[in-house]
Amino acid sequence: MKTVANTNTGVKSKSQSYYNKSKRFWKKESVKEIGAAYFLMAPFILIAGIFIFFPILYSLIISFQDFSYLNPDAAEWVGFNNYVALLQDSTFINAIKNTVMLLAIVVPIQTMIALILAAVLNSKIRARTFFRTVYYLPYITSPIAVGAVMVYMFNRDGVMTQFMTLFGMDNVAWYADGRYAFYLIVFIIIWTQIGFYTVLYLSGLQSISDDIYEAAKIDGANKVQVFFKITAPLLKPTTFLVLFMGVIATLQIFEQPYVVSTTGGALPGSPSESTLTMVMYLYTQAFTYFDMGYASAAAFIIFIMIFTLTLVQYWYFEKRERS
Amino acid sequence: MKRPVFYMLLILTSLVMLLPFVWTLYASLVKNDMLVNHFPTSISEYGFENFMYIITQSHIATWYKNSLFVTITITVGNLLFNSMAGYSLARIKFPGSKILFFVTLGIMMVPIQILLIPIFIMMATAGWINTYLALIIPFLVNPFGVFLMRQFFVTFPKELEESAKVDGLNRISIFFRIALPLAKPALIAQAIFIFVWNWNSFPFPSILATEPEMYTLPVGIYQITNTAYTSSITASMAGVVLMTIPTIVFFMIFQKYFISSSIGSGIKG
Repeated sequence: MKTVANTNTGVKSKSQSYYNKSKRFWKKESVKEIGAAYFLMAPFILIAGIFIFFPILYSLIISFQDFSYLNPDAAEWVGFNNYVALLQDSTFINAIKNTVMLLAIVVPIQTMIALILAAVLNSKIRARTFFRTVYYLPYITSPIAVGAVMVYMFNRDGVMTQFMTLFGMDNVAWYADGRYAFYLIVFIIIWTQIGFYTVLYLSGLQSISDDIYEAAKIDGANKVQVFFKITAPLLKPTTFLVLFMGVIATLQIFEQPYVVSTTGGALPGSPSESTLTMVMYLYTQAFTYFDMGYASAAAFIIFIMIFTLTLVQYWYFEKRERS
Repeated sequence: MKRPVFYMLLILTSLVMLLPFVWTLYASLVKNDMLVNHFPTSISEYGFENFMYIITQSHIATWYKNSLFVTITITVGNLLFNSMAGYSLARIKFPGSKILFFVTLGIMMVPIQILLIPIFIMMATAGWINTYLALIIPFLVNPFGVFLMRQFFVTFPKELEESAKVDGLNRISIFFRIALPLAKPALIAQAIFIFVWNWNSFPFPSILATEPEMYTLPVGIYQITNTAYTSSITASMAGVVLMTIPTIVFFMIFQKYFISSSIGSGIKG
């Protein structure tokens, strides 16, 4: 732009005057436009500012304080003490372990099942809408209700407990048994989320053009080759999304383990912390013990974990995309 | 050869998905708590007593009213405010629009658990605990909803706006009279998302409503199933059935929009 203007003054003045003219035109208009824009944005800016943006900063501040809700005036600055104490707190470490375990089990299984179900649904199947709806139902059902129902089904003598004795499991209340409680949570989470990821994969599959498959067929590729050489690479963006959302959702799991573990008035995370997740830990610290500085630090550690994992996943997929 | 295997797989997985729903409905109709795991064959063992019991013996009617009022108000607020913001971000060039858009995307990534503690302290300081204000006002907007509406309005035909401008309408009238009525599919999709999320919401209501009269359904159902656990399984299941009906009805009516929008927004997000 600049070099053109320097070498040819004629063009410059001409374009300049045109630019000014249009700028003046916009000035009259734009004051009104800007006013309208901010009028339309106002409720969102106000409410999100007060109840989302400000609380994030507020939470960060109290994570550096010894802040008890029971005695807020006695709040003191303690630097990184809360963070240091958390990372030495065996209960929190245990909660991290449980959450990472959940992640390692739930995410690969649900991703695989979702992909298989979507692939089957994408072939010429009757009643596709029916199956899709059925898979999606658990996802829109209240996690609190799901937790309560599962507790009864996996109770001693419960219908699912009886069924599972066929596979050598004991007839015990799963939610209260140290060996089974964790896997009950795994099952509930997968059962709840599978439909959502199936629908995501289905849409990914449907966006792949039939022409590509036709071409592969003509070239003599078999079904397995087609899946690994064509379908899987083209589904990479969907897989990224499914993994990304799966990881974030699993890291934030709260309601299902909370309901299941507190059945009959037991402590959250029982039996013996085997179902304690990070978010349950923060919730209990904040609203049972009112130790809010400490709990806020836990919230930020969770946030940092989610953020880091997101970046790592993004970076990994970007790299593979390029190579 | 392959077809039957596919159908077997689909039917089996569907059974796993449906079983808890069927079992809940069954359990809610069994009169005697002790018989729930024994599948009584006599028709006289079934009835609607559990529903009568839960309606008369708990605050469930009040919780229903609270949940409906809170969720509907939040949904209406979101439809209006998110659409206004989304339209503004999509169609108007104004200073700060880029920053506002990136901040909106940024706060979508923040886990809500970070907000629990500060919102509780703010509400307690304002004296709003156990009021509708606390249950409604913080949730009247949603960055995801703004994003959804922005994506919709970005593809909105320019010609409609220009002819409206020629007719002498200003921006705000263009939004309310032309853009908003034409955004029906996006609005329905958003309405269902916001409705389902807030109807099922548990962590926030559980800390913002501590008196039984102010509970929403998830908080109330949690109290019934977890504190009164030993008293009645079948009555709890009746409560769960009552609670689950609205989301399923909502979903069945609008499922076309629901699933297609989760696809669109998901892929773009």
